[in-house]
Amino acid sequence: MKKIEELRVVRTDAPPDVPARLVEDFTPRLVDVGAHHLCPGCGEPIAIRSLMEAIDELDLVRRTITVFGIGCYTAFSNNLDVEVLQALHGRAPSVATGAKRARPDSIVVTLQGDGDMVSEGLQEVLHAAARGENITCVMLNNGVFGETGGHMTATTVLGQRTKTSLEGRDPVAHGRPILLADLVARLDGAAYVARCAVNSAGNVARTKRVLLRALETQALGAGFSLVEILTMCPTGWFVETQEAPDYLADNLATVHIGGVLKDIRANHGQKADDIESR
Amino acid sequence: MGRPVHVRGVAPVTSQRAPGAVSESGTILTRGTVVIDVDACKGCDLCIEACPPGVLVMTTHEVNDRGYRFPLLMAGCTGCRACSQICPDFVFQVYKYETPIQMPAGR
Amino acid sequence: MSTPASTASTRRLLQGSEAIAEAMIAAGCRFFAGYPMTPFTEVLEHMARRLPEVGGVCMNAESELEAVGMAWGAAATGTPAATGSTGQGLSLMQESLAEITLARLPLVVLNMARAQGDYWQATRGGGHGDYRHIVLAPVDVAEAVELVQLAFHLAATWRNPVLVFGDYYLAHTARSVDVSTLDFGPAPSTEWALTGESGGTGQAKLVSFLGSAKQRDDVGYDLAVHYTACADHTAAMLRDVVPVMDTGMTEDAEVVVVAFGTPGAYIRAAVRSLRDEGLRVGWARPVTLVPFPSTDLANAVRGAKAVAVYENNTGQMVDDVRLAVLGAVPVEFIGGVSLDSSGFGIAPDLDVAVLRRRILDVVERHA
Repeated sequence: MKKIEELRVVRTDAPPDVPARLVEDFTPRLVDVGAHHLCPGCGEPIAIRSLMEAIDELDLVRRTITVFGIGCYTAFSNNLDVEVLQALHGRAPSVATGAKRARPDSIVVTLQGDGDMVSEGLQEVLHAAARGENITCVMLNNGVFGETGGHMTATTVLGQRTKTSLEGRDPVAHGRPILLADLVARLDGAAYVARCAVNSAGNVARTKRVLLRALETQALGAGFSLVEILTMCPTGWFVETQEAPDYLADNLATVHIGGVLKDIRANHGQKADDIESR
Repeated sequence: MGRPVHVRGVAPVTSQRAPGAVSESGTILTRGTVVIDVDACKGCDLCIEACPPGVLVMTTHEVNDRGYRFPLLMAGCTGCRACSQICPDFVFQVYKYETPIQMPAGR
Repeated sequence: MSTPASTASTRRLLQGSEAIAEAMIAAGCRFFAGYPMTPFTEVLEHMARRLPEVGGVCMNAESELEAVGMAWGAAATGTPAATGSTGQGLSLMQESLAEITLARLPLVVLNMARAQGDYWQATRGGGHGDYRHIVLAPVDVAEAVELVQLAFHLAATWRNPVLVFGDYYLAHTARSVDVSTLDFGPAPSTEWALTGESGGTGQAKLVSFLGSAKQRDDVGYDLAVHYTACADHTAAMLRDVVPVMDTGMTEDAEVVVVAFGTPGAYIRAAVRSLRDEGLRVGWARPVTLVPFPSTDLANAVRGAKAVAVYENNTGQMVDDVRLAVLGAVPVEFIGGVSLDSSGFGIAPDLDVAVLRRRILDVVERHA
């Protein structure tokens, strides 16, 4: 094993001085400011980047109203080049419903955490899905209330240690997690429901595909879409940043199982898109 | 992008990923490169594992202006954008060379 | 306020709930969300029937929380929007109402109240933090038709929620009214509203209770800046919205009786009946509960020996009357909780004979 000083490294402080094509800029077009105070290794900016890229790729940004919930990700409500309507904790789906019903030509996307959508706001997302509101709800699921410091939510998995389940979530004391995407997929009003993760580059690519499909569902007026994105929270999980992707794969993704749970636009017999656990 | 700050001490580096084949002359075909915003990095290490050819390595004792270790790039980058897609802090700008370059291997 | 002149052909016999719904539509309301609850339910029913006819949307939400949320979302797009309930339902909406105010959104909120115990909820706000809503209290169906339209105008002008304080009597009394559109002049700009169109332009808009502008060079909100700006705006609104009060026979009155809403009509009748017997009594009826017509009230009671306050609660507006009068004249509370077994606000006390006796009692002790 070589010492780091013995490695021959390539210059990375300036663009290449030989002909080269820029294939990815620091931030996507719709992220004005990439700097944020979220923890090292947080999965939420990764998911938000994917969402902003998806909106841009489908050329929807001049019709899009995003409705933000309250959580760590709220930090991004202020620095995206897309219209933002700030809602209260758990209340984005009803606000999104009002916006979409008042302006049916707009694309309305909520961005909420698991604490926001499944704890505080379970009623709101279920009713919006049941009504078949033509909106897209995006849930960043890390199994904790991150912004308040890492407490148990309705999606926290059994055995997961949080500040309000220090010995690990116990079924007797704390009940069992709600698998929100699975719950929503059972509602007749839901048109597209998928769950993915951002703990690997491959999964990030799958997340993007799923987001594109959800946005298309809305753009076509096909009904309610939900994308649940498992994100890393090393702080809330009490793990090192490098261990968080494996923690996600081993603990969250084995309970909140990835895949396309419902797609009314899919042809019969077409295989649902599978998500690897890592 | 700031100057890395050198801190006392030396430690060996390990990598779990293998870059592309190193030629007999000790070079490796490199298809792309990155620009790294060193001071944006928060040292989370996600890019290291995410890089398919394994050509990113974290500094061990050098830190940026905020006190975080940051990634260095070796030869063999393919411009695949895995690093930029997995990075939570928008550290990477990714380029693909018009013509791939044989570069001296990093290791 | 008198009913505007109208021809027979524009007047219709309407139940109060329907008249309020028609007034909302006349004012341009094109989004309404609500949850059934007595005595608000019929307003929701009428809006459900009528809004689609004029190209609007009415949502029967699954809870009051979702109703106010939907109205919030619609309002944010610049669509004139309203919601409502009775007091209990408004209790559920309070967090949202507080934050909608901080988000600087126009919204009309109806409280079809049960009795008058919601005065504090309406005027102080039942939510958290420092915010104010303009509050309008109609005395009857005809005034409600005007005040509902005024509410939409004030909400749009000040980008602030406006609450209309109604009740069971208002909802269920039929009256011949003219619901033609009142003209308040050119509509205020809705440039701040979200339509999606500013996305990707580098100037994407933000509607948020945390701040009013995107910060492109720095990270994060400055709540101190935002809350201070909201406080300044509230102060300007309270200063510049003209308070409204209706009065009668106060110039030489020895006792002035103050009441709001439906009881105002009964107090007026009781006062007239006592005047017919030679007693020097007068009445004052605040129409804007916020901003409270303190100056007008202080002027109206100057020279009187006592002020009597009637309200169907344990004494809420009486505090604002005392503050307006500031000790110049003794203030006595002659109200109280008066309900039938339903609790919906049907008050045995709303009887001219009952109210006369209470006013006479004050006259005898002070005049």
